[in-house]
Amino acid sequence: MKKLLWCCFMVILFTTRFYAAEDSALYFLPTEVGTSARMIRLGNIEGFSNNASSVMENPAGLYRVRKMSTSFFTTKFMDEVQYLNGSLAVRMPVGVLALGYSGVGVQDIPDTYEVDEEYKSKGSFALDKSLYKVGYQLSVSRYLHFGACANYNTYTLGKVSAKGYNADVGFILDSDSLDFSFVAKNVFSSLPMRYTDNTETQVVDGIDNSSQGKEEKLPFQTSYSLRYSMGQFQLFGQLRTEGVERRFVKSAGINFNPRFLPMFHVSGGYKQRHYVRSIEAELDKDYVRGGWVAGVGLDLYNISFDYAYEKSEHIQFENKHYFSIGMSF
Amino acid sequence: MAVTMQVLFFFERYMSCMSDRVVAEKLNIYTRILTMTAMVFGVVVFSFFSATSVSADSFDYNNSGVTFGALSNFASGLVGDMKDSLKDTIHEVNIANNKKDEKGRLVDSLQVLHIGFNGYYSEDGLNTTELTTLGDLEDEDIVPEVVGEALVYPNPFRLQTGVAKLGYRLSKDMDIQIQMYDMMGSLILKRSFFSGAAGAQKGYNKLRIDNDVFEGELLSSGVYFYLIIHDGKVMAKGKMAIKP
Repeated sequence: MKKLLWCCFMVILFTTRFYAAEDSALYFLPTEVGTSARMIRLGNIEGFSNNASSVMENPAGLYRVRKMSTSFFTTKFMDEVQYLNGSLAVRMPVGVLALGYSGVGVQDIPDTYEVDEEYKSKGSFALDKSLYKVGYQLSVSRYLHFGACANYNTYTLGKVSAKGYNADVGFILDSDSLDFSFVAKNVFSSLPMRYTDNTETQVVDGIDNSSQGKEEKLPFQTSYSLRYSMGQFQLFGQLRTEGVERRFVKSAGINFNPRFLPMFHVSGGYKQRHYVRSIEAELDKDYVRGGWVAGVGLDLYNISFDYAYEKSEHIQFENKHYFSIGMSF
Repeated sequence: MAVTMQVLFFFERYMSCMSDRVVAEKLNIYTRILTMTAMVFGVVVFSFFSATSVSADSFDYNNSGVTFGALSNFASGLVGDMKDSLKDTIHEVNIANNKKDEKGRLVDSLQVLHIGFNGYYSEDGLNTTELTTLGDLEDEDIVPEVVGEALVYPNPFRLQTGVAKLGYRLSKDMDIQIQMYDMMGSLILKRSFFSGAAGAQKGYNKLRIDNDVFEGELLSSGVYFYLIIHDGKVMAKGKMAIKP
């Protein structure tokens, strides 16, 4: 009972605004897009994955790993931005240990110079953001599961680099028909990303362009997710804090798993994202964009295949496709 | 002169009672003489104007010192027509650029005159075989496009305290729209520029990108993708990187 009260206290603490971050730019995490096609097709609902990808969502969810599990996920946006996730989880004598990697990369970013009042390209550089996680899960009882993971972030943009450490904590209350998941990510606000800048030209038009010694906060995020099982259907709902102001964004999803075809899953979901947007000089600091997602899943023995689809607002690339594969033993 | 020749012709025909065949031959000869005379006048007038330096920025055809006396003697109604044509041409030509069109003609020195026929003057001299005006070239023959790459300098840059500029060259004045996306493929910026306005002019344009674009709101460090769109089509695209 004390543990349950402690869990509730943590939820209330992380819900309140006084824990909000200071007014500064937040570091963009490669996990923002999602960590598996399964969670994306449910509307980015976190905490209910059945395989090793739980370490990227809510490490408490690793209690579903029987002996060993792996998961891989990839997608590409605008033919330029490559996302890649991989995770591995192994059940130990006590608890479950997991390793996770999430990365995003962009190649061929032009390095430019000015000549005769015009801009030319003299080469290119790349962006690489990586997030490594080491997670551990412990079940207190059949119904209550805790998890935590240590995070190591690296960032390379040409000759600019950064690194930062942080941690996630979470728990899951598992009952027969109703499950509740809570996770807090990057809980140590005093551990930002710290940058070093070795660019040759640091002063452009009399303005210091160097990022040496600058910092960027790792986004503190909290997610509160529910799952309600109802026969062949599963209903999902989630509240998640995002952005500097830690405003709530909502997600909802439904999964259909027919009895006559138990290895087959059909899902649909709705999710929101919060960001700053300027349209024709009209700034919207609290813009929240909603989007629908859908997808299918196939569980063949110990291997699961998942696909998710989402409509994009990009004028050239109108469709987003997500693929993931998981193996559990 | 023409009237005099016509009178002489009819007087001769009347006096000598020539046959129709002979009359036709003589009429043909007189017509050729008239055509040649008109062409000589045209060449003289062209030479006169081509020797006059015209600048799009400073040219005032009413007070330029150019006289139209010769034309006035030729046909009184033609001067006004030529003034209007010259005025339109100067508005549409960018004399500051030493660019050639797709046929190798210097666009800079093109001057269009309407003196009974359409023609143009180029480095190669008078060409009357192609009846195309420069106005037609500007509006129809020049393909709306972004010439070369659209690049941001410096790249990467700090949005918080620094300034970067997006530079691109347009082949002509045209409506454009700039769109910018983040790494999630979300549209974060859209701006429209109307043809001829700053940012949508023929030649090299520069758009300033600084902290004011988002009114002080900071963007996460990373790569952002911009598109230059005209008439619903992507004319150019590129990437810019923002440092913290």
